[in-house]
Amino acid sequence: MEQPQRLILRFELHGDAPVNLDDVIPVFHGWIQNGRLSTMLIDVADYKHVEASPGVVLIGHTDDCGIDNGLPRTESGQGFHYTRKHARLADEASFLERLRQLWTNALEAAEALEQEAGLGVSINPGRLQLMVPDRLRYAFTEANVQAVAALVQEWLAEVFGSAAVTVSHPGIDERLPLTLTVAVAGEHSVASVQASGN
Amino acid sequence: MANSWKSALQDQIPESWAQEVDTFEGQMGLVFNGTLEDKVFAETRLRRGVYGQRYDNGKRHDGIREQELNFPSGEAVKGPDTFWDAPGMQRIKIPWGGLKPDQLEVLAALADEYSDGILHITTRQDFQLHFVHVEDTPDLMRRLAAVGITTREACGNSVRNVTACPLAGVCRTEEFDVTPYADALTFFLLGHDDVQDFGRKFKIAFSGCEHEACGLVSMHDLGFIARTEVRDGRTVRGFDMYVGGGLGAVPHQARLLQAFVSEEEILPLSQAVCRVFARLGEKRNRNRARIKFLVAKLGMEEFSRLVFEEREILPHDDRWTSYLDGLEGFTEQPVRQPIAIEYGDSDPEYERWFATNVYRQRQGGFSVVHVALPLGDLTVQQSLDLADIARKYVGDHIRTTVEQNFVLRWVADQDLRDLYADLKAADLATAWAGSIADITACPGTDTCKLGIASSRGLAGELGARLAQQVEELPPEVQELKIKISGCFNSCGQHHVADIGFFGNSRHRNKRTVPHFQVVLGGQWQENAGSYGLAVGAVPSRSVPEVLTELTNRFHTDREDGESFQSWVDRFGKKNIRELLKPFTQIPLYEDSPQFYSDWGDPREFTTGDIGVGECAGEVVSLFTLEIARAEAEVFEAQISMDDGRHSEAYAGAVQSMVLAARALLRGQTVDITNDETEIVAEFKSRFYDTELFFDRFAKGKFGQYLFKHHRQRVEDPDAVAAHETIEEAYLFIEAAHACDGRIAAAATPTTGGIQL
Repeated sequence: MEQPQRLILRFELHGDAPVNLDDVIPVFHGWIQNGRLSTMLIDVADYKHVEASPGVVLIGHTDDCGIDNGLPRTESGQGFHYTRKHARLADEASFLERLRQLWTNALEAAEALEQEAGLGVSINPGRLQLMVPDRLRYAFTEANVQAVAALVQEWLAEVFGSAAVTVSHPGIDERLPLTLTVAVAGEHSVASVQASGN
Repeated sequence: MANSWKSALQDQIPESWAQEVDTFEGQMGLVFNGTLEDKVFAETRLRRGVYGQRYDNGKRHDGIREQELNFPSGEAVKGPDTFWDAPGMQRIKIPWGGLKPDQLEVLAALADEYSDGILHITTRQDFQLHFVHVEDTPDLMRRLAAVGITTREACGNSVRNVTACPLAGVCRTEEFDVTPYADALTFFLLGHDDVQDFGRKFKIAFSGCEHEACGLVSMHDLGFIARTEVRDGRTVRGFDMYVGGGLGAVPHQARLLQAFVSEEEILPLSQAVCRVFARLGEKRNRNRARIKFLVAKLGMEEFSRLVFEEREILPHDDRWTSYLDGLEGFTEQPVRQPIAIEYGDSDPEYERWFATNVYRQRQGGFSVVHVALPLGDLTVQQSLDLADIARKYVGDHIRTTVEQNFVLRWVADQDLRDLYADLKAADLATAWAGSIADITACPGTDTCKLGIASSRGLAGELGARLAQQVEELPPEVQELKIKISGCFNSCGQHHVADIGFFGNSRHRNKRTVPHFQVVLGGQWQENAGSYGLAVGAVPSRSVPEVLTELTNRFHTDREDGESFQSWVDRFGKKNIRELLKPFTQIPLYEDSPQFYSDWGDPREFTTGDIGVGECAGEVVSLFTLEIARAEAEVFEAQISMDDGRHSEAYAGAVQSMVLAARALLRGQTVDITNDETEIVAEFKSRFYDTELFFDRFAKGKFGQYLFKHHRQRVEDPDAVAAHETIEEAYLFIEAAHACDGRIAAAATPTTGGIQL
């Protein structure tokens, strides 16, 4: 399979209490001060004034992450999103290898966010969306969905072992990036997934 | 499957546009092999709309210290002091704001593939994407070109996006639809040989009405106001052509070049204006390079003579008039015809939205709907939703506005409720479009390299507060306009707002405090008929209280039917300054540390701060004492200006600059008399020649203001000269504050800061 230029993971948050996005801004600035993540961090973008937007985003050279203020046209609550801009990496890694690296980096940021006690964020790695914003190579078509879904099953089997993984999509719309919705059976946390060594 | 956008779209892009993008991509390669100078590439990419963004010099202050941003491409640059890998901004021109659903869909795709998932509308009806990598821009341009959008000359020393009233063609008060004329001039000048050698950018606007805000012609380098005349029994179309307007650090009102220029003549006469500007406009000093300075320097009479002389010798071009054959092609067709329907009761939210966001078109049974966007931002999904909504109700008839919103035109009245419901589902049905709660702001310190204070942060804060209150505000307050710029360059168009703000800073208590200068009484109507004047700077954190105080006083003090602008004139800037005085105080850092950071940005504003010593708040430097005299002097000059005493206003403004120069000298404990010649000489040798006074971007421009007036006073100054000199004095004083701040920062050990 061709290498996608960009991948995004979005995790649901545990619990009903909304995260105050005003509080996220100083946390991200602090991460830049302290070099909290292993990737190169640049700046913080604030879009909390826009409904169902990326919310507050920590901009990096190869990776961005943030807490949004919900998904559009759904009852979904806030989510933690992580973007890896592979076009900036110029590596030869396969799609599957890119998924693995995306997962590792996203969990690093998720763990750091959970450790910010003032935010009260708890991320659910068992409820996620994978987006492939690469309309040239991965238009949101049924064929591409099938191909990417098979790859995602293979990848998540490495992460969650024998736990049942359900992969679906929110409805084909070729104007949107290819999007898969993933639910993993059982209770999962960032700590438990990391403890499992995956 | 195509393996590149170039091959995928090769049949969909006009050949010349495809060639341009290929050339640009090739130039990127030349930069890497050292064949193309970085400064040449910089202008090249700017002319493709590929703009720098904050921190692209590889340095960023994180609130404690300046951090190096070590981009992987190392020392590779895309312009002087601009790292190759640093994220940048892509500006996308939308001529006269006209947009189609398929174009909006492509813009949305670009936002999530190359940017951060947000589309931003600018104050010139453009789009901007932020955090874009330069290597992604050729494909981005190809995808736009495939749907008829070019980014050519979106930035750089070129003709920028040609703007027009978003109501053109459906307005109840216009002379005629200016859209085809704006379009014709856009594509006539795009890439034209005669517009490639400007010293600075060149902005053009079209208006259908003289007395509405319309296209804001008065603040443009070149502007057109529609006119009709009856000749030989038939109505003929033409335009009053204006030239030499502009905002920026020294705002100028455009002046009439020629009344009623026929539609056959507007293109060649514009070309002649451009040729004169290219030939005689300033090239070396970019701070004096806009056409307004050329018009001022030559005088309108001489400038006009040169333009018409140029017009006489222009080689004929069929395009001057060939566009007239296509005027009918701009006639818009509605998707649905209106039908009469009796509606029952509706919900109050809809009624509120209807009252504030719906404009009755000239064509009976149709309306224009304003889609208000917070800070001009919208998401990918909202863009797609809006494209769907447009197709369903209005077809191609979407336009962007200079107030950073959209309008949907030709909505059949029976569809308004359904349209509202669809917009609401997309979170696009915010009411109060164009009101005090619908604030315009430039990007400011969020992404702009020139930003001093957080215009978007302040706009977001004020917008959130006003959204809660606007329903209860008195009508005369509801209809006020607020516009905010991050610096004096006025990209937020603060000069033409009732209440404008532009970012600056003050050095107090050994720290730098973000401030906003308050600018009152600008006129939005009459094509931006007059500009507001600054009444004083207040700490950024005090702006919400300042706004409350101003609007409350306006409400209680206002006479029947009195506009805000008239009230400002009547109440007087002196009284307004007294009103603001309590809000200019800056508390000690220990008491209110938030005063030392900006809205939406918790980093401490200043560089090189250290723990505050005892009673720091009570220590007043010589500079602070002396600069207050300069500020008082320029304020008095404003009062004189308001009273029509132009000579006194001019003299006061010049004197305030002399005092500010003296303040800097006194701040360095230089023995100095009050003799102007001695002050200027000392200032020149100690601050100007050493470049201590230089602004990072404007360099010595503000110092030149003092030297100019010292060398030769303007004899019998008129209102224009006095007004301009007051503006210059404000900028000189601001520069003195900045200079003092830099000197203080350099003298302060940089051993610490406040942990966030």
